[in-house]
Amino acid sequence: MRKYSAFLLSLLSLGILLYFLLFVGFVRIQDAIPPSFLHVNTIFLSIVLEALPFIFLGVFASALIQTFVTEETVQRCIPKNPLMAIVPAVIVSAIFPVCECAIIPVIRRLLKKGMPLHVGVIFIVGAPILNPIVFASTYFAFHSTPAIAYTRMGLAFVLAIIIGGLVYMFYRTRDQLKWTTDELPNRPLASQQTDRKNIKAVFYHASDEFFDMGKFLIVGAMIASLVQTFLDRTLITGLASDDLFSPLVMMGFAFILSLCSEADAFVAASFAHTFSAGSLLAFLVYGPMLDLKGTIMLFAYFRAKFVLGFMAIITVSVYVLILLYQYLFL
Amino acid sequence: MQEERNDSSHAMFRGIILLGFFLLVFRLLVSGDIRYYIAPKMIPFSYVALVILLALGVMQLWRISAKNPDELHCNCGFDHNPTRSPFQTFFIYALFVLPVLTGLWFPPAVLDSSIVVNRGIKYGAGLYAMPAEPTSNSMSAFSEEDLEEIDAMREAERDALKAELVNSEKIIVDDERYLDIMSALIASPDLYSGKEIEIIGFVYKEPEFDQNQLVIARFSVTCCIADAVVLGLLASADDHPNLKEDQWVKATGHLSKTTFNGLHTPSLLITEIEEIEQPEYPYVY
Repeated sequence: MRKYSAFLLSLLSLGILLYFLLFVGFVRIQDAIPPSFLHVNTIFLSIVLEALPFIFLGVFASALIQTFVTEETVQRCIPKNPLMAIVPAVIVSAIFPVCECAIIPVIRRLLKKGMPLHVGVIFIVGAPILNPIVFASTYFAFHSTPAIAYTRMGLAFVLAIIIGGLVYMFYRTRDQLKWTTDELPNRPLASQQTDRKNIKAVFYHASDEFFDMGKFLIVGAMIASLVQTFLDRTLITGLASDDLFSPLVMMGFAFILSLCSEADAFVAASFAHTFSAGSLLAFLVYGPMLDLKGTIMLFAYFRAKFVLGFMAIITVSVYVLILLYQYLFL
Repeated sequence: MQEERNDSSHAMFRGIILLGFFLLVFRLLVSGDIRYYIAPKMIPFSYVALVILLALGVMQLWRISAKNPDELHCNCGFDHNPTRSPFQTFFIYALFVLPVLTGLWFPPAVLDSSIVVNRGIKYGAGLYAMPAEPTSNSMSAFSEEDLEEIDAMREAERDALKAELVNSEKIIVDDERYLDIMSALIASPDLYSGKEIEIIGFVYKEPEFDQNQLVIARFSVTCCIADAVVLGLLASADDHPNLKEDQWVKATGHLSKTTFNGLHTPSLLITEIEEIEQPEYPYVY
């Protein structure tokens, strides 16, 4: 009975939504609400709609890994010596064509399958920048100064190594994922089920994980859209003059904007005449490694203490390397 | 039993939400309004999402009636449904319902001058100076040949465009090539100085502008509206001092050069300006 009524209820709500779809031709409420609300709403939806396919990419990849890749395979692929694993990991992350929305569920899954923590972290910081699409978009956004695109890749490469090393130094391979009481050893593993069930398991798992992650995406998109609408960017350009301070400003800015790494170069280019190359590089390198949207997702999967430490490691390494770069090359 | 009932109502909520997202994306794709949110080159991904949403949504509703309680869990080693208070559960699902409802309810807003004020406008691309030699520690996933090929392609395209623009009587800045033409104009304003130019955009005025000064602006979108950047051509219209901000115009005039905020930038001396309706696609991509 219970299930029957649940079914009816869902049909009813879908009917209501369908009604909205077909008959409510954008009611004239827009006159009654302030236009800035509509702007926030539009930007919010655009971030959600944009990220949706890539979140699915991430959760499906994660679900497939869960179902078809065994712990032994993962462990066999990773060099025994933890420090030897760092450079190969950075190179593999350059081949991984995933953006920052898709990478976190995949990495969580691989960590759970026994990938060492610092290797996973390298993927989280490296993969969103070190990929051909990001290189091409940076190259076109800064077509008059292609050095920006090369340097972005170079800095990201070096930073991924540094951050991987630091995470290994501070945390070794201790597990930093949130584990829950639900993971009882007597639960049957998906990999032991039959093939037909596996495919179903992939889908069920993907949608559960979508709901797990989606809420953080939505909260992140909400905050980012408010910032996008109301933050006066000319306030930021007022802080552009100081060599030590302006990279920090641009890093903070990259953090709250939460842009896709494929698109952020164009936003950075719009600051080209007010900010130094060093600050722009700080924006381009820091944003994809760590942003508001991603941080909220990290908090969902990792222990809060680790996330804070990880954020500190990224922030300090990016800042120091940018200052060093400014000092040596500019 | 209690737990099983909870699980099936979770499956129900999730099914409804997934299908709600499906309807939202479906409506946006069918009506073409999706272009108010994301750039056309990203739209194929939305079709993929559409199919996935439908499949997952239907499977969730199917899951409600699952006889085997094992099917309600996905056995992936993570706890997807930690026990929460009813209020928390409601709040989390409300988060997901929100974009569906606001998307179906409210019309997409077109970014306008109130956003320009906060974002600032990009008058030129060639204003930026830094040493152009690539640094030695550069590494990338590209081989040198790939880069040279891309470079050569872009270079050839740019030269072809340049030749076309120099030789044409009147340069029409059309939507398809808006970015290319604008960057050509900005890169070498002297080359095109005195040329007749026709351009469409909305009116924007900086606070320090004179009565007759304005910017003919456009938002350029790379992936989604969140990364929109304002591009603009400075213009002066002596005979039309009363243009309102956000009014869409089609302007014709001759290109000259001016100094604004200490930067040399091309400027349009308008000879003819016509108020038009907002174009169907207000953004350039």
